[in-house]
This record gives sequence, structure tokens and C-alpha cells, in this order.
Amino acid sequence: MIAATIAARLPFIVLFPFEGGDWDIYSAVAENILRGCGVSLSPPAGAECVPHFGGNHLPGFPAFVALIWTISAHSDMAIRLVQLLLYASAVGWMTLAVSRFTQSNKVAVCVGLVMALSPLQVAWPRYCRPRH
Amino acid sequence: MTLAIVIWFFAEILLSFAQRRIRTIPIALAIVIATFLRLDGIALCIPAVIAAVILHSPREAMRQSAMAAVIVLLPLAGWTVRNLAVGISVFPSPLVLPDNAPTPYGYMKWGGTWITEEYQRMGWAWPVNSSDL
Repeated sequence: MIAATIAARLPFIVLFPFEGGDWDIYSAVAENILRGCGVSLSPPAGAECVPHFGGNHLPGFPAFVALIWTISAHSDMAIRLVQLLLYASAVGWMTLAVSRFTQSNKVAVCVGLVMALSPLQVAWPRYCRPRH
Repeated sequence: MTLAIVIWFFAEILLSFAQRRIRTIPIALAIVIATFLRLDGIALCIPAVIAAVILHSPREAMRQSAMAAVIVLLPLAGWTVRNLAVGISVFPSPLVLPDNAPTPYGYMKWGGTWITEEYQRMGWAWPVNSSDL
């Protein structure tokens, strides 16, 4: 199920990577975390570090982005790939949970396949955004 | 990322029903992470409490919910203390602008005079949220 989830989404990540939306806000906070400025929306190229609530939300996603940038030489593609791995792991865990809850591997496989291959879901990991 | 955490959360709820006891710690951790990713993640407390009430006696459900509440509220309280210490609001801004620009309350009031549905927000609010403006 994990492999199916990854296989269905990888082409969208590789062929159609996209940022857009409020990525400007998240990436600015992540840049500031990386340069030791803390959670701030000040322009990362400047010297100022005005504290901020966390961007559009609490600073979980900017902190995640900063962590991935630290270990990937500032790669946005790495963010998408790690998001995909986390999502695929969650689908695998949900499949296991459904199997234990229903006592049926067939039902679990059906639920897992819907989650892995749903056309409503497969393109989302191409975005660098917390909700995806 | 949030989708992954929400799926993890509901998987833990299903596992709780399979094991006939609420999995308090993983559920609380999922709520914490979801909330730090998006503030509406705190709404996951509702299905967690409902699951605890279904699975346990009222007394035990309250005990488990209290334990989860401590795990969920500790990091949020820590972040609130940080915000107070640096002298900023403990509440999020309704519309965040790049480069520390202040919240455009007048612009938001103007938008409120004509938008009639959430989809119009894309053309009105989101563009000013971008550095391309």
C-alpha cells in the first residue's frame, strides 16, 4: 500500500512541482529559523528579526521546512518527497488499523487502495504546503 | 503533511476501538502536531473525546481526556509564553502579510462588504498574502 501511494504521487512531484499560495510566508519563516533569527517574518535577507506568531499558523510547518532544508542543502523537492513518505506511512498505518478494526484484510486492502489511488488526492504532494 | 497527521490520528482512533481502550498518548501527539501545522487541528479533540466516552466509563474517559489535554496544552502554553515574552499577540492574525506588514484590517472590512461566499476569498484575500504583490 505504501508503494502504491508513492507510485501514484511521484510523477506529479517530479513532473509538476509547484509552490504558490502562501508558500512565501512559510518559506520566509523557515529561512529565518535557519539563519538563527527564530520564528520571524522579517525579510530573510535583512538584519532585522522581529518575532512573529509563526506565519499563517503556528510554526510547525516552517520548522519542518527548515529541518528538511538543513539536511538536504535547501531543496524544495526534498520537502515534497518527505511529505510524500510521511503520507504513504500514514496510509500504511491506516490500512493496518482498518485490518485490526474490521478483522478483515480484504476491507483493509480496499480502504488502502482508495486512499492510495484516489484521484482527489494523488496530485496534492506536488505542493509545498502544510495541508498537503 | 497535515493530511498524513490526520490519517494517523484516525488510524489511532480505529486502533483504540480495536483494542477497546483509548490510545491517549499517540492521539494527543497527533493533535499537537496537527495543531502546530494548522490551527484548526485542535478540532481533532472532538472525535478523540467522543471515542474516549464511547470506550470508557465517564470517570475513566475524563481521566484519559485530562491526560491528553495536558499533552496537547503544554506545547501550546509554551508557545503562548514565548509570544508574551517577545511582546506579540498570543492570537494569530486573521490575514498575514509578507515582510512583517501589519494586518490590513480596513482592507478586510472592505472585503466583508461584498464577499458572499468562501470561494471569493481566493481573489480578494490570498493575492495580498503573496510577495509577488
